Amino acid sequence: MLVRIAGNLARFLLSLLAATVLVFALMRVLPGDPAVIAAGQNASPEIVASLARQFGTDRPLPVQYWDWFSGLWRGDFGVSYVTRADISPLVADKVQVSLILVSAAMVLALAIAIPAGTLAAVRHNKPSGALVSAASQLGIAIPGFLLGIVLVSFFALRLGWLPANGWVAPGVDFAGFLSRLVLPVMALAGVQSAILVRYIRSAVLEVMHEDYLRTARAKGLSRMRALGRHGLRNAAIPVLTVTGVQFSALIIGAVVIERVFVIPGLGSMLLAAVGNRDLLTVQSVVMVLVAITLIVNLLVDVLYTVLDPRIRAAVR
Amino acid sequence: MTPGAMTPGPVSPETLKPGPVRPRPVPALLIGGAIVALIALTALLSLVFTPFDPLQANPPVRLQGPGPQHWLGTDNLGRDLLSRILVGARITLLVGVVSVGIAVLIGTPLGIWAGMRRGAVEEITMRASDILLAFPALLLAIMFAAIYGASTVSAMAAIGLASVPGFARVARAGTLQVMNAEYVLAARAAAQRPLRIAVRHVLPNITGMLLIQCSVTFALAVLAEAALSFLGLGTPPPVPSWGRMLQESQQYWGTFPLMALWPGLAIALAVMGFNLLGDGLRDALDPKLGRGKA
Repeated sequence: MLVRIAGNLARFLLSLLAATVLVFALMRVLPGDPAVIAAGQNASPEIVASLARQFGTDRPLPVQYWDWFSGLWRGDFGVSYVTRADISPLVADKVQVSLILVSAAMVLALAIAIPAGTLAAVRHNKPSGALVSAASQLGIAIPGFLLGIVLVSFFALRLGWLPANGWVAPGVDFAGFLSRLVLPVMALAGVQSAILVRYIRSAVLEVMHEDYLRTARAKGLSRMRALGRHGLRNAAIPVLTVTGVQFSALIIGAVVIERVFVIPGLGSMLLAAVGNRDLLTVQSVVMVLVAITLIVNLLVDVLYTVLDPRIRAAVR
Repeated sequence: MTPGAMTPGPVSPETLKPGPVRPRPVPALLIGGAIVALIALTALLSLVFTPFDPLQANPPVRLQGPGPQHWLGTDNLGRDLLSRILVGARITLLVGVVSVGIAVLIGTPLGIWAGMRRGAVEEITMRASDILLAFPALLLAIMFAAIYGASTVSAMAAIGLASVPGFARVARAGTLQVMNAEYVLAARAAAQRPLRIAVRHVLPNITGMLLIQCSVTFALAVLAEAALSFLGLGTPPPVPSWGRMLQESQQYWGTFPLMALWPGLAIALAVMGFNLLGDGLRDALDPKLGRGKA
């Protein structure tokens, strides 16, 4: 098992390395010299040259890549070419906000989807099961930001129950933090739970036809107890994989949700940087988002190895 | 036809079960197909006819509810919402068709190549697609917008490239199955060139899987385009797109929600249409997957 986990780790590190090359090539090589962009259209060559020296972009590209790459490992993203601000503390600040938002949404989505998906599978030929399936089909079609708009219009603007937007750190005003978290988390979790319901339903349906479940029923266990004791653990394995994939979808979905709810997370930082053509900041935030995705994939792979008795047995 | 096909074999209890005489109609396929056809017709209709000029502002009639003149009402500048929704269907379809086209044209040959050659080619292609999977369409599109500025073209390119790994994986998986089939073994034994085998034998047999993937990717492209336009990084004004209409409605969510309702409904309907079409195609084309799968 350890060998397999070491393999997962090696693949993660290789993917991360390849991702840094790809992000650097896209954000730093394609657009041209940041000094030219920062200096503006009518700048003299002397100004461009002096900016290039200041930014370090007059050096060969591999040197620049190594500089950026070695900075990443120290958690140093460099200084923005546009605002001249140090990027790392900003990223550290925003990443917390985004992770709170996304984790809360994932927990809510699973809390809705596990019972709903199991119900849809157990009662797949009854009206209640069909209703859950139909609702999930509908939920998938409604993008998170659209659900966000509906929630804001209704619960915040019409009923006035919750704030329409904004963010308060939990340490400053916990009640205010929670009240501002509810709507964006619901908007993010809505679509995710609809997607997860489909996977959980088909995973549980598959397990329901397995021999070991029939044996458990034959021993006299009720259908729900048999499923609870033997089925759900096995159904959890494919669901875990999907949860990992969906976590990365949530991180990107949060970029749009942060815009709807004016939340100062990584998404807002990314969009502001795109607006300012602050390419080094865009490069840094993209790298953080991709790294989070790869880390989640690694965790899923490791958990998968630990959870699945077949893989455990095969690698022993 | 195999020689044994005509001779009756031993009768298993399975074959004695009373089965349906005709294959059951697939509602998902019908409903999805109808929605997609409706959107395509809407986009075509908007080329020759819209009730009003979708770009013409008319402040005296701003923010009106549905009525005999403006069936769906008007927006904050007095523009006819129905006309803008009709024209918006064009951008949705354009982005979907072009980005799915890019993904099919790059991903399918790569996947078939990986599946036929195996070995290092397969390993490299699949690892590369793993890495590209860490860059979802929306993220890649935001990067492209930062580099090239917001435009429909950069959105289509980004969504298309981000969808390449999906097609490469599906094509590879399909190719691996087909490569063990007798007709491919026969073609290989007859020393046919790999390109000929790929085009004559592999491609026709994985078309069904690719069609399903097209439909699912189309739904994702519609979502990504809507989100990008909502962020102001997709189609620039004044061309109406559904996502941009949502963005323009932002100030009026509390007072005039209709302005957000129509484009929102249009996006949801389009996504649902393509998802249902994909599900229906899966049911119809892949009996092994069956209806048990969600």
